[in-house]
Amino acid sequence: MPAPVQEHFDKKMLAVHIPDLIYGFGVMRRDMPANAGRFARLGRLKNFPLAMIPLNPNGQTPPSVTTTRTDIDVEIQFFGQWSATNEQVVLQNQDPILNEFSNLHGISLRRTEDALIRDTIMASAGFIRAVGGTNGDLPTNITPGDIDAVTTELIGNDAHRLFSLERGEDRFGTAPLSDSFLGLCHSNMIPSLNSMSDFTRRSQYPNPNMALERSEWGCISNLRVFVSSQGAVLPHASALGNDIYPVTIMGAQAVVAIDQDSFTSQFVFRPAWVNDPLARNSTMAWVASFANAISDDEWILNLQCTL
Amino acid sequence: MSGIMIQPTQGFFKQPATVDGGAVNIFIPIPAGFDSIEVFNQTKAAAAGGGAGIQFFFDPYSMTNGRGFVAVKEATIGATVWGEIAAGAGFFVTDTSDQSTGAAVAFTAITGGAVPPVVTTSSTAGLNDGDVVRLYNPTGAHQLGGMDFTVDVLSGTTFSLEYMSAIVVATNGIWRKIPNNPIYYPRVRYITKISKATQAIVTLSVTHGYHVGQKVRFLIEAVTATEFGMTELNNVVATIVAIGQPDVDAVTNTITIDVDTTNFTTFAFPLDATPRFTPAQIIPAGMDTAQALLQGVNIHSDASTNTAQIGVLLMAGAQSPGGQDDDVIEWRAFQSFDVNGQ
Repeated sequence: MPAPVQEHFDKKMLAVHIPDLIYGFGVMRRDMPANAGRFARLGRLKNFPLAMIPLNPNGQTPPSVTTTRTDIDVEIQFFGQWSATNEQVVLQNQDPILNEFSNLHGISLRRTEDALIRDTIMASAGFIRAVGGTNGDLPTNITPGDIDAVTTELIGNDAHRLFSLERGEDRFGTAPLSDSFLGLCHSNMIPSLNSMSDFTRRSQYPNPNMALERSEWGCISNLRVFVSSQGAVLPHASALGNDIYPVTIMGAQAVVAIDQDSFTSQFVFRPAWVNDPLARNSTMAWVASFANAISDDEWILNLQCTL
Repeated sequence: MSGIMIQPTQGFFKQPATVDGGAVNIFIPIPAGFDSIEVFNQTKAAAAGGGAGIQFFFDPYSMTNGRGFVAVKEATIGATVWGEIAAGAGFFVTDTSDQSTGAAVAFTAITGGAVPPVVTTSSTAGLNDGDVVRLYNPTGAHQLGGMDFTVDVLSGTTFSLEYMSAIVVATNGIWRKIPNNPIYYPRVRYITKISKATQAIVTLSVTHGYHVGQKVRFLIEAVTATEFGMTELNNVVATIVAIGQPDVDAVTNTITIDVDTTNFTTFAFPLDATPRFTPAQIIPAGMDTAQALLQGVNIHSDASTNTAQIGVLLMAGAQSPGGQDDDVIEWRAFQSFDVNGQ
């Protein structure tokens, strides 16, 4: 008798774990041409003052007004990684390894982009500690009052809400959505979000199809919240030493991502016959320029929370 | 690991001659990573006498972080003897994007009524001047819980919160070392003091890294009727006109701003019994290019930049790869590529 077959390897690979990418969602995208140096600069003018005094009836002209400009600078930097594959793998392996590798590179590229935007926000945006909760730590667990404190601050700074009002529909258990800021946080915040009595889950939206992404968890007050396993965590950062889970609350034009000459994503495959004198080793890579900045510090705040 | 392609990286450095005679640990950025590194101390190799390490080797895959091997020069016969570097005195693979914290260490007291406050702990092993620590649940000074401070190591059991104002007193609590900054610059920083002056001097709890010409915004909440005080600065955007001017306690981790605070309420850091609050903070807000040009400084110093680096930290010492004052040291790092593809 021949030896028994030891295994059957299923021809379809199992799903790769891909976190929801939420931090690039509300980012303002800007282009920068090639041959324009390594710094991108954005500018914002300060408002003219109000003109509250009536003009002189005898025709005298008041002095001219002026303004000042604030510049936001961003340095273009390059990121990338590569893998090498020997001919034996391509020749002898049952799986379409090169296809799988190209998929992994693509996931890595976009995860990296999202994590870099997240880390820009964590480093450079201001924060408010949640203080309304009852867990005894500082910051506390999140409460509606803490969210209102942040949205009040943003509206006080004239921040533009990212989402417009969604009218209610004649469906049981649903509610209309206020015009809202964008909220981004780690998926570990889900129990805290659900436990707030005013929290509206996406299934309770006037129409569940209004949820913009799989990652949209629900809304409360003037905030629509998106969660991801790649959300921000600040380890051992609370007053008692627990992890902090910041909820980034932002309006439009608060964060910018710069693209220099469409170089945000380059996929590079060098087949073995190009890469190697003996045509044995092929390489695959992604390389990209990522440049992110807080473009309006008054229109974004991190609400620091513990669980 | 095994590999078929090897790529070397190399360079050299000279240990700076420090004022207090202590050599400093040297960080070598190696963005492509490395599989092994060799270090050669030219100064010690050429010098007479023995006892100093002249050649060092480290493989991060097979050796413990912080160790490695050293060839120590023999005084009598001019030969070298190989041995293992003492724990913590060798090579550390370092990735500054790592945001994890150090181990929890207990402290038993923080001095009151003096500047800077001094923390007494079981051990300061692993702490160096300029490192950042975070305090947790300090009994008697809960206002400091969760805040970061740059420290000066005073002894094997004490360090000071170098840029902090005086507190009443604290007894016990926990601290952790914060090895790395957030990876992006510029960064939000905590405020510890603000002077009342025509151009206010603002002291920050951690080495700030700001530059002249940058704009910053203040976030200062009214915690009580008197704390933080100076809420007139809340949400004010100011331009930095000077860096490093000494504050009332001669601390120079400061920024000087173009705001007259003479008639503002006095800044008052909260006390132990203060209700829960958000720390007073400086938020980067861009660049005042006119001010930068006026002072002849870099107009891009505010640029949002990823500062993360991968490399190796060479600890200083006679038998350590970082060497001693004025030593000229050469290094070579090697990387091998795995082409198995799996």
